[in-house]
Amino acid sequence: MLSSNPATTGLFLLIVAGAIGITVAAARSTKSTSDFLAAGGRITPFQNGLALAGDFMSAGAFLGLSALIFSSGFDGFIYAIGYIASWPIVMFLVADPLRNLGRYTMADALSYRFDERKIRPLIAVISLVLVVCYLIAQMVGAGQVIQLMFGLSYAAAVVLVGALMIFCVMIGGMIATTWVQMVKAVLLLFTGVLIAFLTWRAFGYDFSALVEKAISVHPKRSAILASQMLPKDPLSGISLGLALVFGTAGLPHILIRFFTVKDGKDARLSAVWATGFIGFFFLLLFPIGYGAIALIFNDPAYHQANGALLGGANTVSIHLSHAVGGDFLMAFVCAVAFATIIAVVAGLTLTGASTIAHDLLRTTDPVSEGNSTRGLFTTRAVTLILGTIATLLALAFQDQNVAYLLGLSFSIAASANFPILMLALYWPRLTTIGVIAGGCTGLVLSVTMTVLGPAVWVKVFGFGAPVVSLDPPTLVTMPVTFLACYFGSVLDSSRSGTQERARFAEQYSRSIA
Amino acid sequence: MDDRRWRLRVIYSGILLAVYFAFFLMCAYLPERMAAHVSSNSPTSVAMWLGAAIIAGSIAMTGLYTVSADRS
Repeated sequence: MLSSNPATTGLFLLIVAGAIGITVAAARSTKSTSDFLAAGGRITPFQNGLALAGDFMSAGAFLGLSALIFSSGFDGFIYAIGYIASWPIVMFLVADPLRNLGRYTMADALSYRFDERKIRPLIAVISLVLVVCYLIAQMVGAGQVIQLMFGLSYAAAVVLVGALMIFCVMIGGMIATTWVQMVKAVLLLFTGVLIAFLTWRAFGYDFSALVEKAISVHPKRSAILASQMLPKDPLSGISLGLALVFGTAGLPHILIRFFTVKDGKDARLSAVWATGFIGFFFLLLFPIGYGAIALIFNDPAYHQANGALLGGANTVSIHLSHAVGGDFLMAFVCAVAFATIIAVVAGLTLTGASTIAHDLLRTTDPVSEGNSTRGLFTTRAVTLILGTIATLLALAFQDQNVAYLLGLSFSIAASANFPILMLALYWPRLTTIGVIAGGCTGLVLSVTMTVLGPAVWVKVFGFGAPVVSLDPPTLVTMPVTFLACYFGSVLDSSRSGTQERARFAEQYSRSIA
Repeated sequence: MDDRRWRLRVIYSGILLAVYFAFFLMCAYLPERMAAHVSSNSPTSVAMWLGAAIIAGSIAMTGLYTVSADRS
């Protein structure tokens, strides 16, 4: 356990009580399927921007990126730069047309001109694979981090996160999830500013002194000032760049947030706010990351006898908060990390539930969609089932290396969802057959190449060399998906294909309304 | 699709992606130049300043785009 002072327990209980309070308050406003899945479209752009930032700034971004900077230097910023550059792409190409064409999920926008009986199940399967991969990675990480921070057993930590997540989503739906995300985003931004300021102050407000100290204590010396990963394997580096910059535009838990505002203009404004908040947070990683190297790399108080960092690599930010702010700031950071975990897993669970209830069950049970009470009951039941399955999977994956699941999620999002969405929004000749060809190709190829790549074949299965050296495989999978969509569409001479092409002009007019 | 909104989407995305991938290629193929100190009296590197500029530029571009899109 990293911190045993009473403040840790107190703040931890305060976060749990806050999440329950928000959920109970939100439950009063959740009366229909629209309230449950899209907060009735009543969220303002500023609020949605905060919630989008909250969704995106997961524990991986907060704890993982600072850990990567601590161990490898500038390579951590390569991820941060890729993540932030993805947001303008979401805004320029996706936010407003998606909102103008859809109601609850990405499949709505595609159903505007394509055959929804075929499109919805396909998009639902891709989205569910993405959500489940992301959710397992977050839940396993959550169990390990909470175990370290608060001294709970792994099983207790996972069950606690699972129970709180199911409660928030089942009772409060999108309204509760949005408010939990907003509170968490504010807490995370405040924490980031505070740690960065205190770190800066520790070096007499001189950033150069901070970087000089970091260079002097890190074994890689001045190599921490530039990327070491990209020169070693440029193709994998470019492939990673593609996955990062286009992946966000295909992540279902990000896309559904655009349906919580009233129109396309508000969706665009949401993305402006989100980019601002996320970009500001990532800029703070410069003093936090290099400050952590400077202040704790050689401090024996934060290391075990064998030299490993106390509590593991992902605790860098927590140790830095202790170094610059003492026990109370460390307890506060642990509580914020816990809030971050709860908010992100709640957002993912809601996305999975909306995909199943709205896209999958709608095709087999259209009555649910028309009847608000029954639709709401179905969605809540799906939330309970999905949340329980995610919790059980997180327990089963306790001793597994699941780091590849986040990379796989981004790879699938960039290789399957993004090409389909782009071509559906902007290419008149795309047809249902093209969408199916592209979606199946992107999903199967991403999963296959990731399994055969270094992240799974070597690190999980233990083989000596990977069958596919590209990691992630997006440099191959994304262009192949575009080609599959292209050939599937141009070779489609069916009558329905002709009708779908004819509907593009109407769809485009509506998408920019 | 020859409307002003479409042209804005293409221009803004094109600029962002060109700068972003140029940065990745420079990191991959010019590692020494990217690791070089930005000036003789500062330990910060060219890569750090370019990275920070891309982050700040991304924020600025979203603001500029939304102003332009509202006018179109």
